[in-house]
Order: sequence, then structure tokens, then C-alpha cells
Amino acid sequence: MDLITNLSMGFSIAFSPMNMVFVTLGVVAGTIIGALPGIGPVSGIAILIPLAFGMNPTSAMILMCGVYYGCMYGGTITSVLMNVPGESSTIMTCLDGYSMAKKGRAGPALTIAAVGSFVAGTFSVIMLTLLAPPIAEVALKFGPPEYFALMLLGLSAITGLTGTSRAKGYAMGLTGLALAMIGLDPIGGAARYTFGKLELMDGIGFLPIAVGVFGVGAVLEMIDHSLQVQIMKTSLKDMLITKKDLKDSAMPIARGSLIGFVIGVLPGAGATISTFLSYAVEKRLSKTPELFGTGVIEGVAAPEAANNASTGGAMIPLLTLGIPGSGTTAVMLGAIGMFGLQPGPLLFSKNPDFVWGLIASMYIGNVMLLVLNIAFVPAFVSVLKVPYRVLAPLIAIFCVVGVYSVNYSVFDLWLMLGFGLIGYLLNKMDYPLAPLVLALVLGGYLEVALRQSLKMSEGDISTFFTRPISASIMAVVVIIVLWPILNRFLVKPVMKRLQAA
Amino acid sequence: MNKAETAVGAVVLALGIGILVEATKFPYYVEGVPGPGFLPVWLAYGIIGTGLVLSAQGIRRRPVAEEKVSWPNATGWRRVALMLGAMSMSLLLLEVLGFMLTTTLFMVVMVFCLGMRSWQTLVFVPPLSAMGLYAIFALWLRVPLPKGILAFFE
Repeated sequence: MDLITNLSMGFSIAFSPMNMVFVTLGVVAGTIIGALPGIGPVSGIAILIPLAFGMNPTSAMILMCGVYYGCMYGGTITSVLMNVPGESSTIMTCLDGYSMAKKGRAGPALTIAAVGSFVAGTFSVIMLTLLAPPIAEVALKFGPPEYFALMLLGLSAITGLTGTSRAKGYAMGLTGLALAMIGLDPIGGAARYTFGKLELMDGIGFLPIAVGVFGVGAVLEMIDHSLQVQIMKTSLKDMLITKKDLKDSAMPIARGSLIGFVIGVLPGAGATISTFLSYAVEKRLSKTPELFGTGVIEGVAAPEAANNASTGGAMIPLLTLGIPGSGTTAVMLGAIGMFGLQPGPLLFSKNPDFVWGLIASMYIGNVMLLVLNIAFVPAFVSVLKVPYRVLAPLIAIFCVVGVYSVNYSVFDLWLMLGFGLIGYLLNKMDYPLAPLVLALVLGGYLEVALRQSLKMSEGDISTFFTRPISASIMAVVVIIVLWPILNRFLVKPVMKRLQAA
Repeated sequence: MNKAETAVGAVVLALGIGILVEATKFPYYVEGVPGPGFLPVWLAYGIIGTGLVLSAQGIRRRPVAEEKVSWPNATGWRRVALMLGAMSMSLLLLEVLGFMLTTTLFMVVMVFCLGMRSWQTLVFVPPLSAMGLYAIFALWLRVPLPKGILAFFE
């Protein structure tokens, strides 16, 4: 009953004319951002935060969530029409989407992607609606040790499981935590790593770093190689799909939705892995797996459903626990903090209008995405024709004015520029950037939880291993961190013996 | 040996040592519970450890074709340097010339240097971009963007 009351309150907020404008703006901007190769949801949201800074938090998050799931669809357009994934979560769509376009079926490929995204997005929001409140209620009973363990889990998963090298992930995560130590100590008030600079007393802002590594980094990436973009000439007039297309896609969309949602909830996994997994599942279940990659509609429907479903899944740990599982949700967590809200389970009791307005807006956003992306695909395609030699400087100057607008500080701008260069170089060398930003956002909370826990236990570290919930979470953390050793000396030998037997 | 990987590993190692040296200046324990130096010390140990691992990996690794970094060519580097240089100049000039002039100049220089030769684009896009951003941030969001030498218009 509470659920219906809360949801109807949420809809009354989301349906306000201003918020409807922000949902629309968000999904349109997200689709465009997602379609531009090199700029994904994380860069898009980081760049847009300053724009949302002056708004009320609910409208701002509605805008950012619109960008988030709009991006998931936007990447599809370039995958299908250019064979260039707008972002990593649409790599799998290239395989069959571009092949369909070459056969003159770009319209049905884009339509099934929109339908799949809508079904999966709505499914994941329904799951978010049903699962988030009970999880938040359980999380209310968590103390500092449980929170510390949870944050450690989020950090170890994203640093250990993303990228190609664990050492690089850990280096980035630990550096992010070290950056979070700059400024006044949150408990005692001692100035740490400020080197007498007044600008560093409040710590390093998350926005200059996030906009630097993701926004400026993306601009540098955009201009460092060929600026020419080739859009496939194909008819977009026939967007209609046949009954057979729909029948062939129904189960892949259903399975993709489920896979995407579950993977989205897990920290460190995210949209990209869900698309790889759902594509692999469909290929395995298909009676004609040899046709995958040649332009089958199932190969578009399943990964597209999965990447959209993962957005709703990723919102669960973010909203209920305040623990983001990906770079995009880490940036969103930073934004929630900037708006003066306390991320975590208390959001549901202290700011129900914020949470339920946001959830309701996600239902509306998914409907809008469906309508916009079937009716206005040619308009989105025309945006891709804006030359990069105009777009790149425009995004750069947007980053500058955006970061300046929050603190009116030129020092922040230098930080942004410095981290833009560092982010660009590290990205080239395959260092994952999400752990850096995630650790920077969580660092302050993590230190407070750690020191409060140890204060409660009078310095006894076993407190993390004696309380049932924190002990279970810490066990998972230990497994993730020690996985390479466990795998080499325990799992592999056992598997070999089993195979031999 | 992969020189770039080894160099980054060494930078991480140096960063860890720097953090550790500074962290020892803060009390590790205060009245029996962790103080402001507690977490930084452990973070420094972690960074030093990963720095050592990364350096060792860099020294041992032989460059394999697919592992090679996709560095830009000379033209690409020039464009990157140009963007960073133009952005740095903009930051230096922002409070002197003001937002409108700096942005217009930045856009003209960048759009031209990146290869755009259409005079319509060069004449109209930069001032329109500056005005658009000014409208969004200064007029709508009420951000006090620097006016610089154009302040006398107020």
C-alpha cells in the first residue's frame, strides 16, 4: 500500500511541467551524447552536473537519469549506422546491427533496439520500485562496520574487475582514495596534504576531477585521431518491424532484460558485461548460431535490452546503500552529495519526494525514449554530422564554464585541465578511470565509517569480522582481492582434478 | 621491457612514497583509536605495493602487438598540444578579457587550427557559442561569469 502511495506521489512530482521538460531534455541530450563516439554516459553526466547544480535536486537527478538511459540508446545509432560503438555497452550491437543496415534493414534494427530498450528499461524500473524500499529498510540497521565493508566491496569490485589489469585498477582506486584524504580531516579537523594552500583546505572537489578525466579526456581522445565520421547511407523511412521480427526478438528481449538487471545490480560488472553475456546466451540458445554476426535481429534485441536494464539495476545500490557500482553511478553519487543530500538508505525516509520523483520519472523517460527514438531517429543522425572540429572545442569550453560555475574558482579549472591530461594519458595506457572517481567520491565516507567503527570497538579490527553482515561482505571482498591467488592455487587444480576424474 | 608501463609504475611508486612521508607527520593513533594519519599510511603502503608490481610488470613485459598503446601520430599530438595550450591560455585570460571574449577567441583559434576553413563557420559559430553559453550559465543559472574588460557594459 505504501508503495502505491509513494509511487503516486512520485508521479505527481515527475509529471510537473518543469520535470517533464527535464525528462525530455535528459533523454534527448543522452541520446545525442550516447551517439557521439568518445563521449559516454559518464562523461555526459559529469559535463552536465554544473548545468543541474542550480536546480532543485529532484529535477537535477531526473535530468541526469534521463541522460544515463538516453545514452544507452544513443550508442545504438552509431553502432547500427556507422559500425562505431558510441560507447562500450553497444559494441555487441555493431555485430548484427551494422550487418542489418548493410542489408537495408537499419530501420528495423533501430526500432527493435528502441522497443527492447523500452521493455527492458521499464522492467528494471519495476524491479527497482519493488526491491529498493525493502533493501533500504534493511540497510537502515547497518552500522559503520557494515557500511565500511560495503564501501570496500564496491571499491574492490570496481577496481579488481574492471580493465585488463588488476594492478592498474588498484593503483587508480588507491590514488582516488589518497586524493580524498586532501583537506581537513573529517573527524579531528587536521589539515592533510594542503601544503599551506587555502584552496585545498576543503579538499579536492570531485567535479574538476570527474569533468577533467572524463570530459576533457574525451575531448583530447576525440581530436587525437581521424576526425572524419562516415555515416552509412541507408533509408530510415521504413522503421516498421514485421511480426516475425517481433516474435524472434520477444524472448531475447526478456532474457536480456533479466541478465541486464542482475548484472547492473552487481558492483563492478555494469552494462558492457551484460551485453556480452546476453549476446552469448542468445547465440548458445539459437537454433542457427552460425547466423549471429550476419544481421539477425536477436543479436540486436538482446544486448540492447541488457544495457538498458542494467541502468535500473545500477540505481538499486546507489539509492538504497549509497554505493555506486560503476563510473556513471559514482559520478551521480558525487552529484547527490553536491546537492546537499545524504546518499544511502536515509534518502527513502528523509527525502521520499526525491527518490520517488526520480523513480517515477524513469517510467516516463522510458516511454519518451521509445517515442522519440522511433519518430526522430533522422534528427539524431543529423547531429552526428556536426564536424568534430566544431564539437570538440565546444565541449571543451562547456567543461570550463561548467566547472567554473560551481565554485567560481580558476584553481578548479587548472585542476580540471591537469586531470584531463592525466586521464587522457592513463586511458591510453589502459588504466581504468572509473575506480579513481569512485574512490574519490567514497573516500571521505569510507574513512569516517572506518574510524567510527574502530572507535566503537576501541581499536579492535576484528569488529569487521565478528558482526554477521559485515563479516559476510568482508569475506566476499577477500575473495575478490585474493582471486588471482585462489584461482591459481585452489580453483584451477581442483578443476583439473575434476576434469581428469 | 615496456618503457611507458615501467615509467608509470615508477611514478605510482614515487607517489606512494611521497604520500607516506607526508602521512607520518599526522598522528597515527589518537587516544587509542585511529587518527588522521591512520588511513593515509595504509593507502601509501598500498600505492607503493601496486607501484612495485606495475614497475615489475613493465620491466618483464615484452611489447606484444595488441598490447601496444594506440598513441596518436605527430598530427594527433599537435592537435592535443594545441587544445591543451589553447585551454591554458583561456584560463589565464578568463578573468582579464572576460568570458565572452575569451570563449570567442578560443573557439576561433581551435576551429581554425583543427582544419575548418568555412568562413561562415569561423565568423558565426564562435560568437554564437559564447552567447549561447552565456545565456545558459549567466542569464538562466545566474553564474557570475567573469566580465573582464567588457565590465564597462554594465
